[in-house]
Amino acid sequence: MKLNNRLLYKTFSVILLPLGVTLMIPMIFAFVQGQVTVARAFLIPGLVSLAGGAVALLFLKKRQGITERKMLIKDGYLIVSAGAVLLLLLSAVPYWLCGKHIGPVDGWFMSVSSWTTTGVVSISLKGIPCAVILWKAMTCWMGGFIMLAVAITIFNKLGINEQGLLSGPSSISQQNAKVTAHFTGTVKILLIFYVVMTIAELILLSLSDMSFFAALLNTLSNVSTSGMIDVSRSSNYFVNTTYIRIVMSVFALLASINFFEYYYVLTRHRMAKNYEVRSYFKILAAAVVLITLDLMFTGTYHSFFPALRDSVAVVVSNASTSGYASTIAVNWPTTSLFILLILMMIGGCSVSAASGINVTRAVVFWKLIMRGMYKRIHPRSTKAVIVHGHKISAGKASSITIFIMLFLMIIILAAVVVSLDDKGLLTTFYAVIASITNTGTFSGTLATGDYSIFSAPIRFFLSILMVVGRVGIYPVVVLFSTSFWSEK
Amino acid sequence: MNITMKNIIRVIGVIIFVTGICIAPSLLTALIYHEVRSAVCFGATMVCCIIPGFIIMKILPADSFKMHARDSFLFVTLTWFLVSFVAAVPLTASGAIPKFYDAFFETCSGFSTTGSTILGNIEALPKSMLFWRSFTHWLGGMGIIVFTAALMPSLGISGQSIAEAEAPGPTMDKLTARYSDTAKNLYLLYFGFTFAETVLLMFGGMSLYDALIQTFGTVGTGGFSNYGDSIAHWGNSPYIQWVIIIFMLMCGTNFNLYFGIPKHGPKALLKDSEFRLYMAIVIATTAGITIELMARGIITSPGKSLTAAAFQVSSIITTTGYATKNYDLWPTFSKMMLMIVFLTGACASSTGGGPKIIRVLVTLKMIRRSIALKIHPSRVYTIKVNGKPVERDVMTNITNFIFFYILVLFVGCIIIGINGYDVMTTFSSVLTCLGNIGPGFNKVGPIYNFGFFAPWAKIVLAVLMIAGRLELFAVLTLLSPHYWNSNKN
Repeated sequence: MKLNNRLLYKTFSVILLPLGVTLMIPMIFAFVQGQVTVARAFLIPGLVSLAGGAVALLFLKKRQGITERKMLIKDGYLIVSAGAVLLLLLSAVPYWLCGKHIGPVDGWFMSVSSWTTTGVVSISLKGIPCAVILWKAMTCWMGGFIMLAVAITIFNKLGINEQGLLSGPSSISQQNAKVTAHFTGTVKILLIFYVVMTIAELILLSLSDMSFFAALLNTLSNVSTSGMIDVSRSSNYFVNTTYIRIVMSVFALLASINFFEYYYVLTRHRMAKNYEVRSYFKILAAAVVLITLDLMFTGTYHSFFPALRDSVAVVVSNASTSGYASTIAVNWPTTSLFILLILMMIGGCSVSAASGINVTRAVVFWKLIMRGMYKRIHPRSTKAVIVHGHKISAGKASSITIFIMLFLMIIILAAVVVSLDDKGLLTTFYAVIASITNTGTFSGTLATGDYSIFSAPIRFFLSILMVVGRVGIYPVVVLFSTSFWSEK
Repeated sequence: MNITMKNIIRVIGVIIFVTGICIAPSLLTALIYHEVRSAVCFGATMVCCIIPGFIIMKILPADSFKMHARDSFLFVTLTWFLVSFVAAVPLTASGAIPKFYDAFFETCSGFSTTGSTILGNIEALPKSMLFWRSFTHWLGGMGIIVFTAALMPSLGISGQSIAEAEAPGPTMDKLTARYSDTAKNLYLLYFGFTFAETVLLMFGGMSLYDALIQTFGTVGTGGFSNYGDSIAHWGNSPYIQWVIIIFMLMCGTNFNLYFGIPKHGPKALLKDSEFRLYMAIVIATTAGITIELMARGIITSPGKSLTAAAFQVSSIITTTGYATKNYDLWPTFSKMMLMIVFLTGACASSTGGGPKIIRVLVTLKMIRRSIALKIHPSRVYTIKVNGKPVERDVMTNITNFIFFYILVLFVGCIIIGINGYDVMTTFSSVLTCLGNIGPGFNKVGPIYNFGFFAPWAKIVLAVLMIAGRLELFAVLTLLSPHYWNSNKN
């Protein structure tokens, strides 16, 4: 199979060079601490990435001016996926080589879970070198931004446009925010905002009784909606501190709303009436009210304010697909758990660090049902689905419909695979939903985000599921479809 | 009172009249077994149904009218709830089920062919009451209105709209020009199945009474039995189990396909895409469970393992809900296989419930098309079922139904969750009622019953059963403000 070489080199250089540079940060950190083995574990993949990236860049320069064969969508898929696999593998190397006997699957699982902002682990973090944990937090942070950036830049540049990888909702938000041009510029502004947000949280968390290092780790993993990194793992000390919990909830919320809202605020200096953000807040408010009532009604909590405080934290934690507060909700009543499960599946807004079905699609889901009801009552009527004054075209509505169907179908099929581990129906479903939505934690045995109960093959499978959920399902599913590989 | 309302009342009068007549076999059973109190209750209910029904029929003269889709929703929903209500009267009056909400749950479960019960000690009930309970399955399986139309062609119900509101599945093929003829043909076939299964079960050593009750549960895909341990009562007889498996599967098949057999032979079945997917799911899940049960050493004999797996899969995919084994004790993979058939349901135009295989089939094809379109954006794909392209409106309706089903499932879980039982009990009780299956997992597993739910939760579950049986929209559009908006267009 012949590929478009220019695209290949470009993609690989774009992936490998920054990766090599970032790998040097924990390397230096370990070196300063005098942990030579650990430093070496970072140096090896770092040098490999830098060398690979340099070679790719060299080839790219060489091919300047040579006309390429027409790029096919297929090439885009193959090259981007190959790049992603390489990225995940190289990021897993430090875990393997750090001298703590982390198995092949565990290292891979950590790498994938961090990049996909799931943030869960399959080993105990106790005794793992600080540099390695820093690397985990860094990959979480990068993973929080990268899908957003990839969706609006690389996929577009590759010519995999709306029809290709970026389906449906994001284009609606683009229409609303009127930022269809200058994608690279947009990404820069969004990145600046992401960095500002990170610094702000770091300062706020440092003011708490966390050590600076813990504040840094938790900032990195929190603004990327990955959850919390609690090295001790034995206690949920951090999340029980009111101040820390408020800070984490605020930033998880900020990270899970549509980033174009920030772009709008920064460029126009006023709040946009972004329908998606508004719908998101409505959903969150409804969930908080229902859960607080349920907690009071069932007697799980005896007074109003603790119930409200905990329900806000857990609702934000689940809706933003972070999962830092699941330990609070372990013994919550059934109705609350169902609401949390639904929030998790809906996830955050479309252009954000969060995953899940996303709010726009969920709104269209609701409106389609309401329209269906209306059409049954008035069979001859024609009624379009209108979201915030914009008509959703039939094609887009059906694209969203299929996405949701596919999402649910994958949950069911994945549950069949995971059920081979015989961990019970509920744990199986929780693990699958927590993985595909990149939340990671949920009630029951998964509350602390420890996946070591699953066998190695199932852990590997769940890591693939995390990727599927993170990239918006289609890119991975397409790779496994027969029509992709048939030569027609 | 406008003309539509007048007609709706008249038809409901007729249906009450017919319901009264339908009590006759139970009355006969009561007389045979000398159950005096039950006989009196049945007799009184019969009189109370037949006389008002007759009066309504006489006062309001018959005139042929066409019912709009919108009116048929109200009509069908009213009919089903009213009939369930009436049917619950003898159960409570005779003291068999003392609480009326329990009896209402039981008859809703009966007419919707769900088969969930609140009874802990089934054998304690009078035989005639158990007969009546199971007979509601038989009536509800094909549809109460279809039954009435078959009995009384002069009823004046015409138009597809009612058929669409009551018949399971997205399309109702017009087999004959007149609706009452279609109804008659369907009922003849239904009678045939009932007769054949009763005879075959009696060959297996059942008494006529037992055979009739298991047959009603099977052909209506309901699942009520007169024994607490369901079909496990005949656990030593593979013959009885396989007869029931085959009849369950037959009744979960699109009944319209059988009318093609005289013309095209058995190929008529195998050519149908829905039937093929149905069989594929049954075979794949059965194989999966059989292998796991043997591999984990739960049932060591291959024959017994296959029988247990096939029975449970057929029972759940056809939404019958009989049990021969406590599948809740099976390993997760086997339970997950069952969970899949919990979610698919039976074929369209069968007596089964659930979302229906045809909808799953079209959805799968739509997913496949959308994946192919991602790679070849400019290509044109049409979705075909049985060689015929599926219209866009039909696809929209199908996806809409599935979305609505998911929504109702989750809302149901949130509501039933308030009752305070665990997640799996809540989820599976809602799923099993909405899909008209019967048993679920955990506390509503095959060896337990629904008796522990609070009265309000039982009513909610009963409404879900009827809503599920009438394919959601008929019942739930009545909750929409658009429905009651007089501005018709």
